[in-house]
Amino acid sequence: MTAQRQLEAPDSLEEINALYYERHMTDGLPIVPPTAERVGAMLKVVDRDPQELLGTMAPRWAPCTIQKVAINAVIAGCLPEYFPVVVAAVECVLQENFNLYGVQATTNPIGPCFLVNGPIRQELQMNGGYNLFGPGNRANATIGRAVRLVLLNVGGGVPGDLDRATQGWPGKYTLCFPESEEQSPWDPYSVDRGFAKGANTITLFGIGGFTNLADLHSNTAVGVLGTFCRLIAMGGGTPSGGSPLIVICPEHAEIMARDGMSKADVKKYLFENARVKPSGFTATVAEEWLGFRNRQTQVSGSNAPEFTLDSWGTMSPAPEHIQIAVGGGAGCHSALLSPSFGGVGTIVTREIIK
Amino acid sequence: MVVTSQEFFTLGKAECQTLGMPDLRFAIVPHPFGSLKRDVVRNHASKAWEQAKSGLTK
Repeated sequence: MTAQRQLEAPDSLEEINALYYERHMTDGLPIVPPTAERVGAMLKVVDRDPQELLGTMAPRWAPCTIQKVAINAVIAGCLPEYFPVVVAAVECVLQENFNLYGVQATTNPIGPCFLVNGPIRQELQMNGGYNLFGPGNRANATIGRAVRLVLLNVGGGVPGDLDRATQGWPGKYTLCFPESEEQSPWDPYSVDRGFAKGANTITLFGIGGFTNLADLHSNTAVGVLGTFCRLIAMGGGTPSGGSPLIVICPEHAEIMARDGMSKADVKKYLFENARVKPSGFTATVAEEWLGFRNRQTQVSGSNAPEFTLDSWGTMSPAPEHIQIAVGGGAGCHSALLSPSFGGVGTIVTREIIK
Repeated sequence: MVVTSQEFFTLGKAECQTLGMPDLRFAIVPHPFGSLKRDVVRNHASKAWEQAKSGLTK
């Protein structure tokens, strides 16, 4: 390992962590020092030149090499076997359509969110069951964290400096989880993205918030989806565009499939029913909404019709933009992961090459 | 000449440096402006224009 400058580090872990914190090279959590040995072990797992350039990373526009990704994977606490997933994840964020510059620098809370498909989930013992969004699993936690550290240390997304998120959100620490394919009544999400069943893939979404879609009482698909629609329309988001991700828990998915619903049927139902009209709000709120929406249309130069009291605000521009995956343990809680901006077409899926 | 919000000035300077234009001049608009009334927006725009004119003609 020669290309990266090596630093003489202090002796104690406490001093090393203090150094990283002072230099804004950590997310605030303790780090694993990236010694030459640890980085070497990480690089051994992939058949790539450490100096291979994956791209230049906004907003600093710094070159992002395999070696730099390996260094940050060590810092994050990744095991070497996670590294192919981390590399694929970084390749995703560097795709132009993800708009990393906007995601890194915005006042919006948006951050990357990763969904993993394929047998690699079991190989790495990822958690797609209880607490799949929460703490406790090393692979889930450190893969997402590694990407955040790359965005920080290579891309320059230092909070309050070039990362101007007004509040951010906890998902910016890490947000990476596998689909629970075995508990899904439908094809894996990777198939929706055009990959063969059984392919190892990672998909990147830009996500800025989370809404619990809890329905503990319905035993029909329409009942469960009706609850989803109410929660989405009332608070979780009828966003200004984009592709919302719904992660349906296995019990809800089973109810839907039992009533004969495909993923396409679920998307259509959500699109047609998770919607609100300005006339359903107070006059003050309706006026504000109409003003905002029509100013946006005017500024963008779009030919969209004027938004009126009787216009519908929908959760996405069309049903096909609603993304559906299955995950979670026992219980009746599904989730809406809300996109923040960027319209549609910002989702990226890459095959994971071991 | 770059017109930028005060809050994004640091980002703007960093971009200029990285992209090889370290001496690019800035017209800075006070933050916030999304929530302002029209007359205040006009005032800010007018001041930004004066900065831009000055920067472009120096």
